[in-house]
Amino acid sequence: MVDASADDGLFLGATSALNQSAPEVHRLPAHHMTTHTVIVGMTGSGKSGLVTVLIEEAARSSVPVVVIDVKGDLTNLLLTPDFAPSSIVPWVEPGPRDKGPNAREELAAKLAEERRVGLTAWGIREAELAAYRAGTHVRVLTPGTEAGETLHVLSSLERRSSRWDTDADGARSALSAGVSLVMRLLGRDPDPARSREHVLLSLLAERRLKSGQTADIGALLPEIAEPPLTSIGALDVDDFISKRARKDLAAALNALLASPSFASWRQGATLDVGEWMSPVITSPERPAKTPITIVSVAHLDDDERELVLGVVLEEILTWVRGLPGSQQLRALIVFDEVYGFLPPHPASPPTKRPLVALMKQARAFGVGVVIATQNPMDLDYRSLSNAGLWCLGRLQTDADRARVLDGLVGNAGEEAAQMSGLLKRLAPRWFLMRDVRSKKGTVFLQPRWAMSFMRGPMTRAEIKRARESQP
Amino acid sequence: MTMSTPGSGAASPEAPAPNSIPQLRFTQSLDEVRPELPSLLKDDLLQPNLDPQAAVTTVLGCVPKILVYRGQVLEELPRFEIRHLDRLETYALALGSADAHYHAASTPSEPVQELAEQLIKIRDLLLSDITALANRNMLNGDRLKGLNGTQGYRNVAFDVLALCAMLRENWTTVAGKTGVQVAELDSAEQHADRLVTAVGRREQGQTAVTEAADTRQRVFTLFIRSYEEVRRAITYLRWHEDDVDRIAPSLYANRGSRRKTDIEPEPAAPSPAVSPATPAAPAPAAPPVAPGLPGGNPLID
Repeated sequence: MVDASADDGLFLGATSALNQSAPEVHRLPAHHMTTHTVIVGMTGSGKSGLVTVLIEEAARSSVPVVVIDVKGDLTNLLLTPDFAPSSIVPWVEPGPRDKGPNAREELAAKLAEERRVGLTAWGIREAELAAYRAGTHVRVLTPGTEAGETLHVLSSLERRSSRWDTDADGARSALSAGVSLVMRLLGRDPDPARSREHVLLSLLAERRLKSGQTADIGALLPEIAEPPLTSIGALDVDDFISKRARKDLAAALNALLASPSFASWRQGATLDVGEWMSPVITSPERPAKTPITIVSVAHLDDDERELVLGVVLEEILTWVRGLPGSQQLRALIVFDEVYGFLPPHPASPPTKRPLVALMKQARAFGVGVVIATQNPMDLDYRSLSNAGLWCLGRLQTDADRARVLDGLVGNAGEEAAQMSGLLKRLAPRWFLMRDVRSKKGTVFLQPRWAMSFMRGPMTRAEIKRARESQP
Repeated sequence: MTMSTPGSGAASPEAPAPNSIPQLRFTQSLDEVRPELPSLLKDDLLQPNLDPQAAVTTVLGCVPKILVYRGQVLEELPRFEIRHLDRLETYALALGSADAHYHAASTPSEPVQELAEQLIKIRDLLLSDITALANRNMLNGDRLKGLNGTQGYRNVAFDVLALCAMLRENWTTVAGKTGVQVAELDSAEQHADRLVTAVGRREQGQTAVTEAADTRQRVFTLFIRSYEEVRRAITYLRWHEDDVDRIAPSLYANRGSRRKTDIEPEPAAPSPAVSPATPAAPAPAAPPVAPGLPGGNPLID
């Protein structure tokens, strides 16, 4: 029996050499993840399962995790029931073939038994499940909807942070991201170095925030029309941006303020990454829990996702830069289904800059980034080259394999050809893993069974129900 | 035991096929297969993920049993590409040769002396068996007079190949009347091939290892493809009898004890941390492991 409770690394599953030698339990040293992780594989290869296992193991090692959930299935982390079929009855959905009055119960019994067999085979019993539940706190943030906790995505603009007193540069970066979001929502140039409207709004907001006031958009409107400034840079305010342009900006902001959908983005939890990463104390008698914070954007359209995640990632980057250096894994940022958010040059959605910066810089601060995708062709090359841990599931197309191998071993030579052949033939739930810090080279990785009940993407109503049923 | 001449296409399992140039039996097959190799696309090549020598030996032993079903395959599976069956033995022999070449090329210090000493022992053993058979008039011993002797590596190697050929040509007569097994002949021929190759390599200097590896991988691909196609056909024909593993066994079964091959550079695996109680080692011969449970096969064959 595998000892799943051993405390010497992240228990990912089992590995075996490429000659398929006898498998051995694989416990990844947590600090190996600070060089960032890329998980690639076609649909059905088991990516989401592996991502879930990584998150669970980080949390078991007391490493806080922020999860960007684009598809909506990582909210399954809310579901860690015991082995009783009755515990998963609310989360199973009988299909057309599951007929009869007790179809749901029968399906639940079948799935519960599969899960029990799967987990116990990997050495995870009720006791380990209970310990995991007791030691973690899963939080789901859903910007723009009350299914999870709502998130004030303009926190950096409209809510004064104490960071202005201690780390003005960091606070200014976060403010800039917030103003860029507003500019994008208005359909205007979001570039902080080019947009005069961005400069004006940022200066006005910073002036208020530095003086201890809030800078909500409503309060800024009159100041936009009549700025309490005489000059911006070396120019008079009117020369920098005309009265008419200021009036247009104020009118547009006012229309945005009046929009009901925008109102839902300006309420709820403050976008405070430091808080997300702090241990959660639920009772003075109990040990603090390790937080897993899921930012779920599955319910948003593509443009909204880019905007919201751009702001969230800028906040994360700002938080990371404020940390002292560390060799140990201090926190994990997980971005599943990163397709479209980290594209190659010249595309540059608002998520790209902070993601590239995180993958370049976060290592020194002990923060690991995990990105997963089924479209490696769509990933920025610089990001791939920064990754030290690769988990490659089955890839069907030549182009996908070539892209991944190019970043991993160079796209030529015998090794690349051998790995390409293996990638083409990998079975579901198997990966080729290469850890640059390991002497073993490339190995087969079979992830363990996830503790979370992997029931697929969850609707807003289901997220709400899962949160309410949390202890 | 019956063998078709390499490249001769379909052979009747009843008809022994004497080989007129026995010392080239393996290498001739490789030469015959070479024109097919360039047409294989790089992406389609299979990883040599099992012991080629073991696979070759297994398949050579199965070919006669498989050929029994050639007619039935043609009749019941008209769309089956019969070349897979007809070329199977040639591919197996070619793989044996390509593997030997690869080992010769990739092992800088190929122990020529050691190989020769082993082969001299094999030669002596075969010679004593054949002499006994010749004394009982079970085969013609005149050819023994043409042996080269044990002076010189090539002489030893070609003597062994000639002795193997004598036994193969008379196998229907001598089978069961000598202690020699077919697998020994295969092994002896491979040893001889390795010695000849090693000597040639030593004389010719650096050989392109990459080229040898590429050739082996390509031949392996042809070999596995054809064998798997044949297995599928036999499986279809023998579905209700459920005896396909006796006719054409899986090459991926029971791989736990095979030796480490050259394409797997990892250091020896430490003792498994998974206890024996845990379903651990990938064991294709065992009942299929459910997805997600420990074990199973990482590759879809």
